Amino acid sequence: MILFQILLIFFIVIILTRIILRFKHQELSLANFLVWLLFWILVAGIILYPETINFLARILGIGRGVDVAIYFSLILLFYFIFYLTIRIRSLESKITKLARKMALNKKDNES
Amino acid sequence: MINKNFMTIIVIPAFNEEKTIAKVIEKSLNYADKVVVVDDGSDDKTSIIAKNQGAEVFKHCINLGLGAALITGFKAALKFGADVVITLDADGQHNPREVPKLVKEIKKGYQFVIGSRMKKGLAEMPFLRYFYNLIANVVTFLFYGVWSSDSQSGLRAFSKKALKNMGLKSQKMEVSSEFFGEVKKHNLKFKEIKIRPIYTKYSLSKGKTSQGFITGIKTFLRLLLNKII
Repeated sequence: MILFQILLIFFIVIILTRIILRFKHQELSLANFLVWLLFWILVAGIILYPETINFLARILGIGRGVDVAIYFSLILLFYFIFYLTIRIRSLESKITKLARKMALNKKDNES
Repeated sequence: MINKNFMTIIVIPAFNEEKTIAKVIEKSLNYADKVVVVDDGSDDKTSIIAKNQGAEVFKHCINLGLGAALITGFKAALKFGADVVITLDADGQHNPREVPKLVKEIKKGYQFVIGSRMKKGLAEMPFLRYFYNLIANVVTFLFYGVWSSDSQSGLRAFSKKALKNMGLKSQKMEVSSEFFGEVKKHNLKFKEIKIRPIYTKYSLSKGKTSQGFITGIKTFLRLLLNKII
């Protein structure tokens, strides 16, 4: 194992303990827990045996398996950022509506 | 000046403005039927002082931003039956004596009137602020296709119809530019008139924190996000 792999596996173990803790404290549903667990185990597998995704690279016409992983990670990350931005905006707008309603209603009650 | 057939309401968004709000309200009441103060989650005595001065006060329980405060003010003003709504800043930089000039333009049939601090060249605006405002005007033009000599001015007038049509979604300072988008979208009749701002030591120091470079960048990013998402 090269140093890089050891480091990444170390991080994944930390992430896994977090996920298990979240699940234990019931902050994560069973379905979400399983999805994340599987996802990180899969990532660990790819890190330990990068040649396993070389066939995918060949099909797609990309040089190495590692590159496939990087491309997909980037796409996923950008999608998540987009998704989170929309979620945050929608939350922001809900909070605003709530605070506005409270401000306007309070006045109604006074008069 | 106060005309029962044409209700004028002044909306003042305020965030921690206990030092200046009383005077602004006192002067404003001479030129409007009602003064609505939206306290945007201040920690100081802004609300209490405003209420004692005779303003209708609406308080956000948390700080939401200029855009959110203005929209709350508009809703309240429309509920009170306003025919024209004027907005002005709580820091005292606008002289309420200018309000009738804006109301006059609305009565003439304009739907959105801006009190421009730059109508006559540099005026008395400090250079750095002038420069920031210029950039803001260019950005507003690029995004919304309407040119204003003072897009960020806090002294504005809206006809009732304009307010009812506007679908604003801005939370913070970017609301000033968004108004121009609504002007374009609904084909509102827009005019600028020259005003003379009062730059006191207080309003300038306030401006440093709220209208600085970083705020400018943040406002720009919010405008961009509004535009694409």
